[in-house]
Amino acid sequence: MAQEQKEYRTVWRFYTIPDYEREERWLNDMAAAGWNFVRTNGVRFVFRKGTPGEFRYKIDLAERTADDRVREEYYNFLTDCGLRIVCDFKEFIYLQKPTAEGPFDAADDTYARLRVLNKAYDCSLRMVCRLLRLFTVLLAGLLLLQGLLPASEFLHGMAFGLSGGAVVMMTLIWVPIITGLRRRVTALIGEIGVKR
Amino acid sequence: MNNANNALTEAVYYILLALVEPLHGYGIMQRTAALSGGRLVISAGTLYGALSTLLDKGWIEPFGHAAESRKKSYRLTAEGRAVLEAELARLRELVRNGERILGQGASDEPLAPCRYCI
Repeated sequence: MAQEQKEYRTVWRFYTIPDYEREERWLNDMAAAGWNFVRTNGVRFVFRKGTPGEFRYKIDLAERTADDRVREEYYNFLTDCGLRIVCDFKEFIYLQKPTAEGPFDAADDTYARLRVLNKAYDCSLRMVCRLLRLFTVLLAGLLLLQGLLPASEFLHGMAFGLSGGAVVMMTLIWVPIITGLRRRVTALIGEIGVKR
Repeated sequence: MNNANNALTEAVYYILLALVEPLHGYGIMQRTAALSGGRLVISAGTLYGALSTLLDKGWIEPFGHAAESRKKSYRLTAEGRAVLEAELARLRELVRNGERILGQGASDEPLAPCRYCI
């Protein structure tokens, strides 16, 4: 006798911020195969067994503000527009819509793409600023400890490692992410200049 | 108000046109899709951004009290209507010039003198 299929399925994956369109395509591929997205914590994606092709998914990003009221207003607006917010994780908002109700937007809607891309760019910049602030505070704390405590090889090594790590992380990870997103934003702006 | 060089995007044009009657977000999406024969599908995010900008410009305004629901409705202001009419005149000029140059047998009519050369 065929084994009964599990109702839920968990898949471990990691997508960086600029990869949100690839992540969205994957969620839609899963939905087309009958696995409807339920929730994620950034790496662990949970799906529920359903009818293949019943829903489609879109990833949006929160409005550029730390104000919870604006964020809530945007969420209300999205649901008022007939969309279901399946899950939100940090800046990411996962939207669901029955396939029968049509697409989220026109396939060639450059404005819609630019709007989300610009939010991704903004979100990456804010993340870099947050990391820089964190490294600065940690480094200042270590330097202060070095001044207060007797000379310590350990503290010296920590401060050196922290600064080196921050520089390497910025150069190897964040600079390519930011410049890549900026290039995509510029390309879309150029497209809008030709096709309104 | 000078909109001589401020062409509206297709989405903004249809949103303003839809708001001749008061509508909420979902109503605007449905109305713009119907007006364009289903061709223009405005995403909720684009609509949200457009409505914020149009409110700031004073081309639309909130309408009514949504006491029974949190849905916000909007309608066109007098300034918005003037913008829409100016855009319509601009679109007519585009069509007229396009037809004059590319249309069949319509090339006899002289072109209007350039306003910058007079």
